Amino acid sequence: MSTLDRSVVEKVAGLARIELTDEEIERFTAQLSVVLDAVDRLRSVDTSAIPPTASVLPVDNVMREDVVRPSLPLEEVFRNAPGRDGDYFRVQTVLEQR
Amino acid sequence: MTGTAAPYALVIGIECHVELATSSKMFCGCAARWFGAAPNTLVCPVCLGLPGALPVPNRRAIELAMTAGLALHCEVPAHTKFDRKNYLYPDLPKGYQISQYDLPLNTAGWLEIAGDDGRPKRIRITRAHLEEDTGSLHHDGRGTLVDFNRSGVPLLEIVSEPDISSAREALRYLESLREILIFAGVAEFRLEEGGARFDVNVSIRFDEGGETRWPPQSEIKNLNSFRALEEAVAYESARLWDEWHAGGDIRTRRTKVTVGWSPERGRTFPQRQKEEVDDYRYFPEPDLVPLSPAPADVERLRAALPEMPVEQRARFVRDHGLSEYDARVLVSDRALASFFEDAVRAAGGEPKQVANWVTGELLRYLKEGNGAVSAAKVTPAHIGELVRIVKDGTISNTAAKEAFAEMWVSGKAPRDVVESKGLAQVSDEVQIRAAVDAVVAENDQAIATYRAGKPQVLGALVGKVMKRMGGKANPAVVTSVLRERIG
Repeated sequence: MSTLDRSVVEKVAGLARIELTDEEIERFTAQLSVVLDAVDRLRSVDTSAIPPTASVLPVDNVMREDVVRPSLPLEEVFRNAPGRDGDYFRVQTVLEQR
Repeated sequence: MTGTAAPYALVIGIECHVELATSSKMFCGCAARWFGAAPNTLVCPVCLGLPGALPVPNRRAIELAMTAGLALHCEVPAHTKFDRKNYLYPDLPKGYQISQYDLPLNTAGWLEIAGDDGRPKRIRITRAHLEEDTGSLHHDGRGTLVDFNRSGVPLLEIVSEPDISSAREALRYLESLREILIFAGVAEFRLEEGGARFDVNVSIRFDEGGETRWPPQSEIKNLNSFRALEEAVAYESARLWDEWHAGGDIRTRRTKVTVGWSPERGRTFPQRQKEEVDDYRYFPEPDLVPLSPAPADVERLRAALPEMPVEQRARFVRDHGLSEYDARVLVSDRALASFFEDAVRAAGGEPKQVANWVTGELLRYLKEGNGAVSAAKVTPAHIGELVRIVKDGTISNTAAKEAFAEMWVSGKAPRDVVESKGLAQVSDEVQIRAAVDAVVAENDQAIATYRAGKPQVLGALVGKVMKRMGGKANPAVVTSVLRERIG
Protein backbone atom coordinates (compact mmCIF):
# COMPACT_ATOMS: atom_id res chain seq x y z
CA MET A 1 0.00 0.00 0.00
CA SER A 2 1.36 3.37 -0.94
CA THR A 3 1.74 5.76 2.00
CA LEU A 4 3.01 8.52 -0.25
CA ASP A 5 1.36 10.58 -2.92
CA ARG A 6 3.17 12.40 -5.64
CA SER A 7 2.72 15.87 -4.11
CA VAL A 8 5.03 14.83 -1.26
CA VAL A 9 7.67 13.69 -3.72
CA GLU A 10 7.35 16.96 -5.62
CA LYS A 11 7.79 18.90 -2.39
CA VAL A 12 10.83 16.91 -1.26
CA ALA A 13 12.36 17.32 -4.72
CA GLY A 14 11.79 21.07 -4.42
CA LEU A 15 13.52 21.18 -1.02
CA ALA A 16 16.44 19.24 -2.53
CA ARG A 17 16.46 21.60 -5.53
CA ILE A 18 16.11 18.62 -7.87
CA GLU A 19 14.02 18.77 -11.00
CA LEU A 20 12.13 15.56 -11.78
CA THR A 21 10.24 14.51 -14.88
CA ASP A 22 6.68 13.16 -14.56
CA GLU A 23 7.93 9.68 -15.19
CA GLU A 24 10.55 10.06 -12.43
CA ILE A 25 7.99 11.38 -9.98
CA GLU A 26 5.81 8.31 -10.62
CA ARG A 27 8.72 5.96 -10.24
CA PHE A 28 10.12 7.58 -7.07
CA THR A 29 6.69 7.81 -5.48
CA ALA A 30 6.37 4.05 -5.77
CA GLN A 31 9.96 3.38 -4.64
CA LEU A 32 9.87 5.77 -1.68
CA SER A 33 6.54 4.32 -0.60
CA VAL A 34 8.13 0.92 -0.27
CA VAL A 35 10.98 2.41 1.79
CA LEU A 36 8.59 4.32 4.05
CA ASP A 37 6.37 1.30 4.55
CA ALA A 38 9.41 -0.73 5.55
CA VAL A 39 10.55 1.90 8.06
CA ASP A 40 6.98 2.23 9.28
CA ARG A 41 7.15 -1.29 10.66
CA LEU A 42 9.27 0.16 13.50
CA ARG A 43 6.08 1.66 14.86
CA SER A 44 4.90 -1.76 15.91
CA VAL A 45 7.72 -2.00 18.49
CA ASP A 46 6.63 -1.06 21.99
CA THR A 47 9.01 1.75 23.06
CA SER A 48 7.04 2.99 26.06
CA ALA A 49 9.70 1.75 28.49
CA ILE A 50 12.68 3.12 26.49
CA PRO A 51 14.05 6.59 27.23
CA PRO A 52 14.39 8.99 24.27
CA THR A 53 17.73 8.24 22.66
CA ALA A 54 19.68 10.74 20.53
CA SER A 55 22.71 8.54 20.02
CA VAL A 56 23.43 4.86 20.48
CA LEU A 57 27.14 5.39 21.10
CA PRO A 58 28.18 4.78 24.71
CA VAL A 59 30.10 8.10 24.94
CA ASP A 60 29.29 11.75 25.34
CA ASN A 61 31.13 15.06 25.80
CA VAL A 62 33.72 14.45 23.08
CA MET A 63 35.37 17.83 22.49
CA ARG A 64 38.53 19.46 21.21
CA GLU A 65 40.49 22.34 22.73
CA ASP A 66 40.12 25.80 21.17
CA VAL A 67 43.37 25.73 19.22
CA VAL A 68 43.87 27.18 15.74
CA ARG A 69 45.36 24.81 13.20
CA PRO A 70 46.53 25.58 9.69
CA SER A 71 43.82 25.86 7.05
CA LEU A 72 44.11 24.45 3.54
CA PRO A 73 46.27 26.14 0.89
CA LEU A 74 44.16 27.77 -1.84
CA GLU A 75 45.04 25.23 -4.54
CA GLU A 76 43.70 22.46 -2.28
CA VAL A 77 40.59 24.50 -1.47
CA PHE A 78 39.62 24.78 -5.14
CA ARG A 79 40.83 21.39 -6.31
CA ASN A 80 37.33 19.95 -6.86
CA ALA A 81 35.42 23.21 -7.10
CA PRO A 82 32.88 23.32 -9.95
CA GLY A 83 33.67 26.99 -10.53
CA ARG A 84 36.40 29.37 -9.40
CA ASP A 85 36.70 33.10 -9.84
CA GLY A 86 39.86 34.53 -8.31
CA ASP A 87 39.88 33.22 -4.75
CA TYR A 88 36.11 32.75 -4.64
CA PHE A 89 33.86 29.84 -5.50
CA ARG A 90 31.57 30.82 -8.35
CA VAL A 91 28.05 29.43 -8.29
CA GLN A 92 24.85 30.08 -10.18
CA THR A 93 22.79 32.89 -8.76
CA VAL A 94 20.16 31.42 -6.52
CA LEU A 95 16.74 32.07 -7.95
CA GLU A 96 14.10 32.70 -5.36
CA GLN A 97 11.83 29.70 -5.28
CA ARG A 98 8.02 29.76 -5.02
CA MET B 1 -6.77 57.73 20.79
CA THR B 2 -4.89 60.66 22.33
CA GLY B 3 -1.77 62.52 21.36
CA THR B 4 0.65 60.91 18.97
CA ALA B 5 0.47 57.41 20.42
CA ALA B 6 0.07 54.72 17.78
CA PRO B 7 -3.45 53.27 17.58
CA TYR B 8 -2.11 49.79 18.22
CA ALA B 9 0.15 47.97 20.65
CA LEU B 10 3.40 46.48 19.38
CA VAL B 11 4.40 42.93 20.23
CA ILE B 12 8.05 42.21 19.47
CA GLY B 13 10.31 39.19 19.88
CA ILE B 14 13.97 39.12 18.86
CA GLU B 15 16.31 36.37 17.71
CA CYS B 16 19.88 37.57 18.15
CA HIS B 17 22.69 35.66 16.43
CA VAL B 18 26.05 36.49 17.94
CA GLU B 19 29.49 35.07 17.13
CA LEU B 20 31.33 33.67 20.14
CA ALA B 21 34.81 34.91 21.03
CA THR B 22 36.74 31.71 20.33
CA SER B 23 40.10 31.43 18.59
CA SER B 24 39.05 28.56 16.33
CA LYS B 25 35.79 27.57 14.63
CA MET B 26 32.96 25.53 16.13
CA PHE B 27 33.84 22.13 14.67
CA CYS B 28 37.35 22.52 13.21
CA GLY B 29 40.67 24.22 13.90
CA CYS B 30 40.40 27.01 11.30
CA ALA B 31 40.74 30.52 12.76
CA ALA B 32 37.38 31.99 13.73
CA ARG B 33 38.38 35.62 13.13
CA TRP B 34 37.14 35.75 9.57
CA PHE B 35 36.53 39.47 9.22
CA GLY B 36 39.02 41.09 6.85
CA ALA B 37 40.81 37.81 5.98
CA ALA B 38 41.56 37.06 2.31
CA PRO B 39 38.73 34.94 0.81
CA ASN B 40 38.75 31.19 1.43
CA THR B 41 42.03 31.22 3.38
CA LEU B 42 40.40 30.04 6.65
CA VAL B 43 38.84 26.82 5.41
CA CYS B 44 39.42 23.08 5.71
CA PRO B 45 37.54 19.90 4.74
CA VAL B 46 35.23 20.23 7.78
CA CYS B 47 34.00 23.80 7.18
CA LEU B 48 33.95 23.27 3.40
CA GLY B 49 31.66 20.27 3.94
CA LEU B 50 33.91 17.89 2.01
CA PRO B 51 32.79 14.25 2.06
CA GLY B 52 34.15 12.23 4.95
CA ALA B 53 35.21 15.19 7.09
CA LEU B 54 34.01 14.89 10.68
CA PRO B 55 33.19 17.71 13.10
CA VAL B 56 34.55 17.86 16.66
CA PRO B 57 32.98 20.46 19.00
CA ASN B 58 35.09 23.27 20.41
CA ARG B 59 35.13 23.02 24.21
CA ARG B 60 35.61 26.76 24.61
CA ALA B 61 32.58 27.54 22.39
CA ILE B 62 30.41 25.28 24.52
CA GLU B 63 31.70 26.88 27.71
CA LEU B 64 31.11 30.39 26.35
CA ALA B 65 27.58 29.45 25.29
CA MET B 66 26.88 28.10 28.77
CA THR B 67 28.43 31.18 30.36
CA ALA B 68 26.09 33.34 28.26
CA GLY B 69 23.16 31.26 29.44
CA LEU B 70 24.18 31.59 33.09
CA ALA B 71 24.59 35.36 32.71
CA LEU B 72 21.07 35.44 31.25
CA HIS B 73 19.63 33.41 34.16
CA CYS B 74 18.98 30.40 31.93
CA GLU B 75 18.59 26.82 32.99
CA VAL B 76 21.26 24.38 31.84
CA PRO B 77 19.75 21.02 30.94
CA ALA B 78 21.34 17.75 32.02
CA HIS B 79 21.42 16.55 28.42
CA THR B 80 21.78 18.48 25.21
CA LYS B 81 22.68 17.59 21.63
CA PHE B 82 23.24 18.92 18.15
CA ASP B 83 20.80 18.48 15.27
CA ARG B 84 20.94 18.85 11.52
CA LYS B 85 18.86 21.61 9.99
CA ASN B 86 18.56 20.76 6.31
CA TYR B 87 18.24 23.36 3.60
CA LEU B 88 20.05 24.06 0.37
CA TYR B 89 21.68 27.40 -0.16
CA PRO B 90 25.13 28.19 -1.60
CA ASP B 91 26.39 29.65 1.70
CA LEU B 92 25.88 26.27 3.38
CA PRO B 93 28.38 23.82 1.88
CA LYS B 94 27.11 20.66 3.58
CA GLY B 95 23.46 21.22 2.65
CA TYR B 96 22.67 21.34 6.35
CA GLN B 97 23.58 23.51 9.29
CA ILE B 98 24.59 21.92 12.58
CA SER B 99 22.28 23.55 15.10
CA GLN B 100 20.20 22.56 18.12
CA TYR B 101 16.52 21.76 17.86
CA ASP B 102 14.65 20.27 20.79
CA LEU B 103 17.38 20.15 23.47
CA PRO B 104 19.12 23.55 23.37
CA LEU B 105 22.08 24.30 25.64
CA ASN B 106 20.16 27.02 27.53
CA THR B 107 16.45 27.46 28.25
CA ALA B 108 14.09 29.74 30.17
CA GLY B 109 16.17 32.79 31.13
CA TRP B 110 15.54 36.51 31.34
CA LEU B 111 17.18 39.88 31.36
CA GLU B 112 15.98 43.12 32.83
CA ILE B 113 15.65 46.42 30.98
CA ALA B 114 14.08 49.79 31.77
CA GLY B 115 10.55 49.57 30.37
CA ASP B 116 8.95 52.48 28.54
CA ASP B 117 7.13 53.38 31.76
CA GLY B 118 10.54 53.79 33.45
CA ARG B 119 10.06 50.73 35.64
CA PRO B 120 12.28 47.64 35.44
CA LYS B 121 10.88 45.12 32.98
CA ARG B 122 11.89 41.52 32.51
CA ILE B 123 12.26 40.23 28.99
CA ARG B 124 12.04 36.45 29.06
CA ILE B 125 14.51 34.43 27.01
CA THR B 126 13.07 31.30 25.49
CA ARG B 127 16.35 29.63 24.63
CA ALA B 128 19.94 30.21 23.60
CA HIS B 129 21.43 27.52 21.41
CA LEU B 130 24.69 26.88 19.61
CA GLU B 131 25.04 26.60 15.87
CA GLU B 132 27.53 27.26 13.10
CA ASP B 133 27.64 30.37 10.95
CA THR B 134 27.33 30.15 7.17
CA GLY B 135 29.70 31.35 4.44
CA SER B 136 29.22 34.77 2.88
CA LEU B 137 27.86 35.47 -0.60
CA HIS B 138 28.81 38.28 -2.96
CA HIS B 139 26.67 38.91 -6.01
CA ASP B 140 27.98 40.28 -9.26
CA GLY B 141 26.39 40.61 -12.69
CA ARG B 142 27.33 37.09 -13.70
CA GLY B 143 26.42 35.09 -10.63
CA THR B 144 27.31 34.56 -7.04
CA LEU B 145 30.74 34.36 -5.40
CA VAL B 146 31.18 32.39 -2.18
CA ASP B 147 33.71 32.89 0.61
CA PHE B 148 33.64 30.16 3.26
CA ASN B 149 35.86 31.89 5.84
CA ARG B 150 32.80 32.53 8.03
CA SER B 151 31.50 28.99 7.55
CA GLY B 152 31.58 27.13 10.86
CA VAL B 153 32.24 30.12 13.15
CA PRO B 154 30.41 29.43 16.45
CA LEU B 155 27.15 31.29 16.67
CA LEU B 156 24.85 31.63 19.66
CA GLU B 157 21.20 32.21 18.81
CA ILE B 158 19.38 33.92 21.66
CA VAL B 159 15.60 33.88 21.28
CA SER B 160 13.43 36.21 23.35
CA GLU B 161 9.77 35.82 24.18
CA PRO B 162 7.50 38.45 22.57
CA ASP B 163 7.76 40.61 25.70
CA ILE B 164 9.06 43.76 23.98
CA SER B 165 6.54 46.54 23.40
CA SER B 166 8.33 49.22 21.38
CA ALA B 167 11.35 49.87 19.18
CA ARG B 168 12.95 51.71 22.11
CA GLU B 169 12.50 48.69 24.37
CA ALA B 170 13.94 46.52 21.60
CA LEU B 171 17.05 48.73 21.53
CA ARG B 172 17.39 48.65 25.31
CA TYR B 173 17.07 44.87 25.22
CA LEU B 174 19.85 44.56 22.65
CA GLU B 175 22.08 47.10 24.39
CA SER B 176 21.67 45.21 27.63
CA LEU B 177 22.32 41.88 25.90
CA ARG B 178 25.41 43.30 24.24
CA GLU B 179 26.74 44.67 27.52
CA ILE B 180 26.16 41.36 29.34
CA LEU B 181 27.80 39.24 26.64
CA ILE B 182 30.84 41.53 26.42
CA PHE B 183 31.18 41.68 30.20
CA ALA B 184 30.93 37.91 30.50
CA GLY B 185 33.70 37.61 27.87
CA VAL B 186 31.37 35.57 25.65
CA ALA B 187 31.33 37.74 22.55
CA GLU B 188 32.77 40.94 21.16
CA PHE B 189 29.50 41.86 19.50
CA ARG B 190 31.19 43.87 16.73
CA LEU B 191 28.19 44.90 14.64
CA GLU B 192 30.35 46.69 12.10
CA GLU B 193 32.19 43.42 11.46
CA GLY B 194 29.07 41.28 11.13
CA GLY B 195 29.61 39.82 14.60
CA ALA B 196 25.89 39.95 15.45
CA ARG B 197 22.67 39.88 13.44
CA PHE B 198 19.00 40.05 14.41
CA ASP B 199 15.73 38.63 13.19
CA VAL B 200 12.79 40.55 14.60
CA ASN B 201 9.19 39.35 14.86
CA VAL B 202 6.77 42.28 14.88
CA SER B 203 3.02 42.18 15.25
CA ILE B 204 0.34 44.75 16.05
CA ARG B 205 -2.58 44.28 18.43
CA PHE B 206 -5.57 46.57 18.68
CA ASP B 207 -9.27 46.79 19.44
CA GLU B 208 -11.77 47.06 16.65
CA GLY B 209 -15.52 47.01 17.16
CA GLY B 210 -15.07 45.73 20.71
CA GLU B 211 -12.87 42.85 19.65
CA THR B 212 -9.15 42.38 20.07
CA ARG B 213 -7.37 41.94 16.74
CA TRP B 214 -3.93 40.38 16.61
CA PRO B 215 -3.07 39.56 13.00
CA PRO B 216 -0.05 37.38 12.07
CA GLN B 217 3.40 38.90 12.52
CA SER B 218 6.12 39.85 10.10
CA GLU B 219 9.57 38.42 10.59
CA ILE B 220 12.20 40.95 9.55
CA LYS B 221 15.32 38.95 8.68
CA ASN B 222 18.98 39.69 9.04
CA LEU B 223 19.18 43.20 10.51
CA ASN B 224 22.76 44.15 11.24
CA SER B 225 22.60 47.38 13.21
CA PHE B 226 20.58 48.90 16.04
CA ARG B 227 19.52 51.71 13.76
CA ALA B 228 18.25 49.33 11.07
CA LEU B 229 16.27 47.52 13.73
CA GLU B 230 14.65 50.69 15.01
CA GLU B 231 13.71 51.91 11.54
CA ALA B 232 12.55 48.51 10.30
CA VAL B 233 10.25 47.98 13.30
CA ALA B 234 8.70 51.43 12.82
CA TYR B 235 8.21 50.87 9.10
CA GLU B 236 6.85 47.35 9.27
CA SER B 237 4.39 47.96 12.12
CA ALA B 238 2.94 50.96 10.27
CA ARG B 239 2.78 48.86 7.10
CA LEU B 240 0.85 46.08 8.87
CA TRP B 241 -1.63 48.66 10.17
CA ASP B 242 -2.08 50.14 6.71
CA GLU B 243 -2.46 46.71 5.17
CA TRP B 244 -5.20 45.89 7.66
CA HIS B 245 -7.09 49.06 6.83
CA ALA B 246 -6.65 48.59 3.12
CA GLY B 247 -8.35 45.21 3.55
CA GLY B 248 -5.19 43.36 2.54
CA ASP B 249 -4.35 39.72 2.78
CA ILE B 250 -3.33 40.25 6.44
CA ARG B 251 -7.04 39.94 7.30
CA THR B 252 -7.20 36.35 6.13
CA ARG B 253 -3.71 34.88 6.21
CA ARG B 254 -2.89 32.46 8.98
CA THR B 255 0.90 32.50 8.92
CA LYS B 256 3.61 35.10 9.32
CA VAL B 257 5.34 36.77 6.40
CA THR B 258 9.10 37.03 6.01
CA VAL B 259 10.56 40.35 4.90
CA GLY B 260 13.98 41.88 4.38
CA TRP B 261 15.02 45.46 5.17
CA SER B 262 16.52 47.86 2.67
CA PRO B 263 18.36 50.60 4.56
CA GLU B 264 18.88 52.54 1.31
CA ARG B 265 15.17 52.68 0.49
CA GLY B 266 14.04 52.79 4.13
CA ARG B 267 11.48 50.03 3.60
CA THR B 268 10.90 46.33 3.97
CA PHE B 269 10.42 43.98 1.02
CA PRO B 270 8.90 40.48 0.82
CA GLN B 271 11.48 37.70 0.93
CA ARG B 272 11.47 34.14 -0.26
CA GLN B 273 9.24 32.22 2.09
CA LYS B 274 11.73 30.14 3.95
CA GLU B 275 10.96 26.56 4.70
CA GLU B 276 8.48 25.72 7.44
CA VAL B 277 9.97 23.98 10.47
CA ASP B 278 8.92 20.59 9.06
CA ASP B 279 10.74 21.36 5.84
CA TYR B 280 14.05 21.63 7.69
CA ARG B 281 13.79 17.91 8.46
CA TYR B 282 15.67 18.27 11.74
CA PHE B 283 17.22 15.10 13.11
CA PRO B 284 19.96 14.36 15.68
CA GLU B 285 23.40 15.00 14.16
CA PRO B 286 24.83 11.51 13.65
CA ASP B 287 28.44 12.78 13.45
CA LEU B 288 28.37 14.11 17.02
CA VAL B 289 27.66 12.51 20.38
CA PRO B 290 25.37 14.15 22.94
CA LEU B 291 26.60 16.58 25.59
CA SER B 292 25.88 16.18 29.27
CA PRO B 293 27.16 19.28 31.08
CA ALA B 294 28.62 18.13 34.40
CA PRO B 295 27.13 20.01 37.38
CA ALA B 296 30.67 20.71 38.62
CA ASP B 297 31.54 22.36 35.29
CA VAL B 298 28.37 24.43 35.37
CA GLU B 299 29.20 25.60 38.89
CA ARG B 300 32.78 26.41 37.88
CA LEU B 301 31.48 28.58 35.02
CA ARG B 302 28.92 30.20 37.29
CA ALA B 303 31.62 31.04 39.86
CA ALA B 304 33.80 32.57 37.13
CA LEU B 305 31.01 34.86 35.97
CA PRO B 306 31.90 38.49 36.65
CA GLU B 307 29.51 40.85 38.37
CA MET B 308 27.06 42.06 35.71
CA PRO B 309 26.99 45.74 34.72
CA VAL B 310 23.57 46.53 36.17
CA GLU B 311 24.63 45.10 39.56
CA GLN B 312 28.04 46.74 39.45
CA ARG B 313 26.56 50.17 38.72
CA ALA B 314 24.17 49.82 41.65
CA ARG B 315 27.05 48.79 43.93
CA PHE B 316 29.26 51.72 42.85
CA VAL B 317 26.45 54.14 43.71
CA ARG B 318 25.58 52.39 46.98
CA ASP B 319 29.02 51.50 48.36
CA HIS B 320 31.26 54.14 46.81
CA GLY B 321 28.81 57.05 46.85
CA LEU B 322 29.34 57.73 43.14
CA SER B 323 26.84 59.53 40.93
CA GLU B 324 24.76 57.44 38.50
CA TYR B 325 26.68 59.17 35.73
CA ASP B 326 30.14 58.26 37.04
CA ALA B 327 28.98 54.70 37.74
CA ARG B 328 27.71 54.40 34.17
CA VAL B 329 30.96 55.73 32.66
CA LEU B 330 33.13 53.41 34.77
CA VAL B 331 31.00 50.32 34.15
CA SER B 332 30.81 50.95 30.40
CA ASP B 333 34.10 49.08 30.16
CA ARG B 334 34.92 46.09 32.33
CA ALA B 335 38.65 46.94 32.34
CA LEU B 336 37.93 50.52 33.41
CA ALA B 337 35.64 49.34 36.22
CA SER B 338 38.29 47.02 37.63
CA PHE B 339 40.97 49.72 37.20
CA PHE B 340 38.78 51.97 39.34
CA GLU B 341 38.27 49.36 42.05
CA ASP B 342 41.98 48.53 42.19
CA ALA B 343 42.80 52.23 42.48
CA VAL B 344 40.30 52.69 45.33
CA ARG B 345 42.01 49.82 47.13
CA ALA B 346 45.44 51.40 46.50
CA ALA B 347 44.23 54.79 47.70
CA GLY B 348 42.83 53.24 50.86
CA GLY B 349 39.40 54.69 50.17
CA GLU B 350 38.50 58.07 48.61
CA PRO B 351 36.32 56.51 45.86
CA LYS B 352 35.01 59.87 44.69
CA GLN B 353 38.51 61.30 44.24
CA VAL B 354 39.62 58.14 42.45
CA ALA B 355 36.54 58.28 40.19
CA ASN B 356 37.41 61.89 39.33
CA TRP B 357 40.87 60.85 38.20
CA VAL B 358 39.68 57.83 36.26
CA THR B 359 36.72 59.45 34.49
CA GLY B 360 38.64 62.73 34.11
CA GLU B 361 42.35 62.66 33.29
CA LEU B 362 42.69 58.96 32.56
CA LEU B 363 39.75 58.77 30.14
CA ARG B 364 40.77 62.04 28.49
CA TYR B 365 44.31 60.78 27.83
CA LEU B 366 43.00 57.38 26.72
CA LYS B 367 40.68 59.01 24.20
CA GLU B 368 43.39 61.30 22.87
CA GLY B 369 45.75 58.36 22.46
CA ASN B 370 42.97 56.04 21.26
CA GLY B 371 44.34 53.38 23.61
CA ALA B 372 43.03 50.69 25.89
CA VAL B 373 43.05 50.89 29.69
CA SER B 374 45.09 47.72 29.88
CA ALA B 375 47.87 49.28 27.78
CA ALA B 376 48.14 52.51 29.83
CA LYS B 377 51.43 53.12 31.65
CA VAL B 378 49.54 54.71 34.54
CA THR B 379 48.47 51.93 36.89
CA PRO B 380 45.72 51.74 39.54
CA ALA B 381 48.49 51.81 42.18
CA HIS B 382 49.73 55.12 40.72
CA ILE B 383 46.26 56.69 40.88
CA GLY B 384 45.89 55.46 44.45
CA GLU B 385 49.19 57.04 45.41
CA LEU B 386 48.34 60.28 43.62
CA VAL B 387 45.08 60.58 45.52
CA ARG B 388 46.88 59.92 48.81
CA ILE B 389 49.58 62.56 48.28
CA VAL B 390 47.00 65.16 47.26
CA LYS B 391 45.00 64.35 50.35
CA ASP B 392 47.96 64.60 52.75
CA GLY B 393 48.97 67.92 51.22
CA THR B 394 52.22 66.77 49.60
CA ILE B 395 51.11 68.28 46.28
CA SER B 396 48.30 70.53 45.14
CA ASN B 397 45.57 69.37 42.78
CA THR B 398 47.06 71.47 40.01
CA ALA B 399 50.51 69.98 40.53
CA ALA B 400 48.90 66.52 40.58
CA LYS B 401 47.58 67.06 37.07
CA GLU B 402 51.03 68.08 35.93
CA ALA B 403 52.39 64.94 37.60
CA PHE B 404 49.74 62.82 35.82
CA ALA B 405 50.87 64.15 32.45
CA GLU B 406 54.41 63.00 33.20
CA MET B 407 53.24 59.66 34.62
CA TRP B 408 51.23 59.07 31.45
CA VAL B 409 54.32 59.43 29.31
CA SER B 410 56.99 57.81 31.49
CA GLY B 411 55.00 55.37 33.63
CA LYS B 412 56.90 56.63 36.69
CA ALA B 413 55.37 56.50 40.16
CA PRO B 414 53.81 59.77 41.43
CA ARG B 415 56.39 60.29 44.21
CA ASP B 416 59.27 59.97 41.73
CA VAL B 417 57.64 62.48 39.39
CA VAL B 418 56.94 64.90 42.24
CA GLU B 419 60.59 64.70 43.26
CA SER B 420 62.13 64.95 39.80
CA LYS B 421 59.89 67.82 38.73
CA GLY B 422 59.95 69.58 42.09
CA LEU B 423 56.19 69.59 42.39
CA ALA B 424 56.01 69.16 46.15
CA GLN B 425 53.96 71.68 47.96
CA VAL B 426 55.71 73.77 50.60
CA SER B 427 53.95 73.57 53.94
CA ASP B 428 56.94 74.75 55.92
CA GLU B 429 55.77 77.75 57.92
CA VAL B 430 59.20 79.40 58.11
CA GLN B 431 59.44 79.69 54.31
CA ILE B 432 55.82 80.72 54.00
CA ARG B 433 56.14 83.32 56.75
CA ALA B 434 59.07 84.94 54.94
CA ALA B 435 57.04 85.21 51.73
CA VAL B 436 54.02 86.54 53.64
CA ASP B 437 56.20 89.20 55.27
CA ALA B 438 57.49 90.32 51.89
CA VAL B 439 54.00 90.54 50.41
CA VAL B 440 52.65 92.41 53.45
CA ALA B 441 55.50 94.92 53.18
CA GLU B 442 54.58 95.69 49.54
CA ASN B 443 50.80 95.90 49.88
CA ASP B 444 49.89 98.52 52.51
CA GLN B 445 46.85 99.59 50.55
CA ALA B 446 45.32 96.10 50.25
CA ILE B 447 45.97 95.39 53.91
CA ALA B 448 44.28 98.60 54.95
CA THR B 449 41.28 97.64 52.84
CA TYR B 450 41.20 94.21 54.47
CA ARG B 451 41.35 95.70 57.92
CA ALA B 452 38.59 98.13 57.00
CA GLY B 453 36.26 95.12 56.74
CA LYS B 454 36.73 93.82 53.20
CA PRO B 455 37.89 90.21 53.72
CA GLN B 456 37.57 89.44 50.00
CA VAL B 457 40.96 91.04 49.27
CA LEU B 458 42.55 88.14 51.16
CA GLY B 459 42.27 85.99 48.03
CA ALA B 460 44.41 88.42 46.04
CA LEU B 461 47.03 88.47 48.78
CA VAL B 462 47.14 84.67 48.96
CA GLY B 463 47.66 84.74 45.21
CA LYS B 464 50.63 87.06 45.54
CA VAL B 465 52.24 84.83 48.17
CA MET B 466 51.65 81.77 45.97
CA LYS B 467 53.23 83.53 43.00
CA ARG B 468 56.23 84.53 45.08
CA MET B 469 56.71 80.89 46.04
CA GLY B 470 56.45 79.65 42.50
CA GLY B 471 53.00 78.14 43.04
CA LYS B 472 54.34 75.51 45.38
CA ALA B 473 53.05 76.79 48.69
CA ASN B 474 50.24 74.96 50.40
CA PRO B 475 47.35 77.45 49.99
CA ALA B 476 45.70 76.40 53.24
CA VAL B 477 48.85 77.15 55.22
CA VAL B 478 49.39 80.44 53.34
CA THR B 479 45.85 81.56 54.13
CA SER B 480 46.13 80.81 57.80
CA VAL B 481 49.57 82.45 58.18
CA LEU B 482 48.39 85.53 56.28
CA ARG B 483 45.22 85.85 58.38
CA GLU B 484 47.23 85.62 61.55
CA ARG B 485 49.76 88.22 60.30
CA ILE B 486 47.34 90.92 59.21
CA GLY B 487 44.17 90.03 61.15
